[in-house]
Amino acid sequence: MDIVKICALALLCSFASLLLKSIKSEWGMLCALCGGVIILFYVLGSLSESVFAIREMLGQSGFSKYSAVLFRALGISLVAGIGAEGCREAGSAALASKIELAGRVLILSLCIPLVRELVSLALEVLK
Amino acid sequence: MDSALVLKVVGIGLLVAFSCQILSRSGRDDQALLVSLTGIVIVLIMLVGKIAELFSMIRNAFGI
Repeated sequence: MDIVKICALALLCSFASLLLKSIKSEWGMLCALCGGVIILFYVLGSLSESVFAIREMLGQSGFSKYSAVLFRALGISLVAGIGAEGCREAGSAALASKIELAGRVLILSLCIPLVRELVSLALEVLK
Repeated sequence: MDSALVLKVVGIGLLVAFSCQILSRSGRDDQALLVSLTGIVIVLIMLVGKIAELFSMIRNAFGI
């Protein structure tokens, strides 16, 4: 599915969401969510190939244990972004910011072992 | 199937809105509410399966 079809689908969906919002407001969010999910399906299909290639290259260059953390953080931010935008579309900005906060906290807890390793390395060098 | 899902959702939405308007104009408010809720449940059933598939795809791609 190329960019033209994705664009057309998104425009159709946003127009339908606008149309349905004026009659029944809850359908606007459902329509937008539906269009977003379909577009993400197609994007993820090609994204997973790129992720695999990057992971391979990182493994060859010797950074293989950091690639897992990197991609997990990327995945968490993607899912948190989807959830937060969906909530914002439904008008709950409070829930959206809670989801974003949760995503930030989870990524931070992923990075703590890396920071610890960095600090111990720095202390070793200083000794 | 994938891009037809949007058209199905929009079609069901328009149908539900139309029938809700007619039913509430002719005084049957409770039936209008029932039709509206039925439409939302049908669309949610269609969407929840897709969203679960999407999230499992993300999980597999990024290894969460």
